Amino acid sequence: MTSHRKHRLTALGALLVAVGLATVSFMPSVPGYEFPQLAAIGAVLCAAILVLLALVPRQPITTVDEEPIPWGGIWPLLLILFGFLLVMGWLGFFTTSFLAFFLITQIYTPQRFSWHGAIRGAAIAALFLGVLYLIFVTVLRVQVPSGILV
Amino acid sequence: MELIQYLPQVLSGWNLTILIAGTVVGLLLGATPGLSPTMAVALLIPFTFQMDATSGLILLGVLYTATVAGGAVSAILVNIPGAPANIATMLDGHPMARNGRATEALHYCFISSGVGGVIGVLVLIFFTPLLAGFALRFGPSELFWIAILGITVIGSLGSTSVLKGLLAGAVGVWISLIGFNPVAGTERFVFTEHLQGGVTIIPALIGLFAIPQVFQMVEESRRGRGKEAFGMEQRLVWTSVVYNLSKVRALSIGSIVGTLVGLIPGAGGQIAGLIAYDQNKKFSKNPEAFGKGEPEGVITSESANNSMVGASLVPMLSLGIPGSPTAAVLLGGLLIQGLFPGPDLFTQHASIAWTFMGALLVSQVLMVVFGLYISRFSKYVIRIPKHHMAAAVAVLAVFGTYSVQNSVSDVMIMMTMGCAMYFAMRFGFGPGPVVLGIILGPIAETNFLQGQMLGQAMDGTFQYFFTGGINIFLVALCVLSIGYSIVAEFKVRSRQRGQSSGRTVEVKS
Repeated sequence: MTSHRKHRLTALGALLVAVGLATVSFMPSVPGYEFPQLAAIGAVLCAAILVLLALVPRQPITTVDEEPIPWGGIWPLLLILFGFLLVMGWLGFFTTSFLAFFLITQIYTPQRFSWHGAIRGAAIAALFLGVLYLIFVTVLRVQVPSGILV
Repeated sequence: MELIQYLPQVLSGWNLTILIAGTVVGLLLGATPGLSPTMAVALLIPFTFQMDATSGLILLGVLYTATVAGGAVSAILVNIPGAPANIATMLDGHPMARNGRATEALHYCFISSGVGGVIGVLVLIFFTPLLAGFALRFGPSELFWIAILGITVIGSLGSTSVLKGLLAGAVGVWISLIGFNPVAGTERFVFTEHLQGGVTIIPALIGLFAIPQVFQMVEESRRGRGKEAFGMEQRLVWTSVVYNLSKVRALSIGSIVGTLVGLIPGAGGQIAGLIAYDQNKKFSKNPEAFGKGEPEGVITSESANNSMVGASLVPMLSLGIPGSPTAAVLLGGLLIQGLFPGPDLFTQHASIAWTFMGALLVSQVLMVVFGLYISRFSKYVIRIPKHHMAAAVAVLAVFGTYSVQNSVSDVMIMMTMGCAMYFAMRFGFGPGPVVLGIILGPIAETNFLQGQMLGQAMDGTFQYFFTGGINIFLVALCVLSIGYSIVAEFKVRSRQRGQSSGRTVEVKS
């Protein structure tokens, strides 16, 4: 996809989001929605001008600042973060954090997988979370989600 | 003077401990590539809940100062700015390190940061009460326009595209209105049970700043960036102090430019450093040395970055308009403690305000002392791998968000907003305007509703909001800020076009 085409699609996507905000702001017919309506109108106006400047001239007038999304690199992180939310309440914060920390360091290390590296990663994760537990849970008594484990 | 009256409080046991700990932690966080001052302050806001308002604000303020200065370490040693503010430092600091002068560059960085920082804080101390006193004349209509001005200014300066910045600001305002209808007293835009309490500042701040950074760090880790590092030469601190202080022009240009840029809401530190660097280069007898390891380049940009910090808090503490994205996060910290910017801060909460400003002044001295000491160990800090940093930030983001209200919904909101922001950033939208919209949205709505009621009781809503000297001045400022940004964007665009057409001609010939 060319950068100009992506720029135009971004502008159209922004307009869709803004129109969506405006629709939900204008739907209820009760008082107290005036300010959200103003904010939504502001968003629609900005998005509409963005679309005009991107579509009408042959070359977009506004800066083309879109970058491709590196799906290949980020999908494991997305899965880990999503899994963190799902498992945290069941397993407990510290166990889930240990797993997430370990997985992120192992998946995103520039080096190839090795048992030595994995053990080192697990030790660093345990040390980091141990310090966090000691300072915030033991000393400052901050509450964290607890589950079947810590 | 009030500052001297509250100075013993600054140097009291607990506050001094926070100052020292905040300075050391801030310097280390700043030195770590990928951890920006805004993210560091946002991540640590939840932990200030355990403290009283004064100590909490001192910690956040000190972190802001120290992370900006610490950011120069990775800029100098690995050619990756620790914060956007350190881009100008990189231009000469890194060539100095490559020439075997890494310690010297780090010395200049911390000494100049201290000089600039003291000047910035002095401006904060002398100007804020004056400006806050002027704000006594403000009613709901003026406060409404001030909030809108804040959004337009950061909206226009926080992104590469003015329209995208303004659009992000408007979306931020809309998000802040989720939860509670202040007129009907009913729920508003609550599409799921997780949104019942609305979108509060902490999950939004942490999500918008920390989560996209986690994605960026893992991306960079996969690409294997940040491998280059240098050895540190032995050098006497006193030699650096004498040389640094002899560079009066570089220090003056940096401090003046940094202060002026900091006073302009939304301009941000990266602009201060770059403008000061450019000005000093123009005034220099030896401009061709810049970019090849000229110490004056480091001195100017670092004094500018740190004088900007104090100055950026002037509009924030007096009018509620942050001077930089990090100041916007600090504004969030202030509001969470139940403190509102403006004249009340200097009358009803004078002790907090003056102790905070005094602490910022003391922190500049501590920053120089600890910075010079830590600089010899900097090479170890910058070696922390990006994937370890990403994992630690992700865990801290969840921990910090949950600990505020013990709410899983807050964690979900934080994570959703963070992931959405990462994707939005790939399409050219910045997190600064969204955060500012979220912070200023409720202030704008409250004053809009109050103004509406007053207007109906007087000559009408339109007359109430669009008449009166201050109202017209503020509306004009809003229009000017948007207009200026549009003109600036078109200039950049036409320059880019000129450059690209120039390249085409070269290729053809």
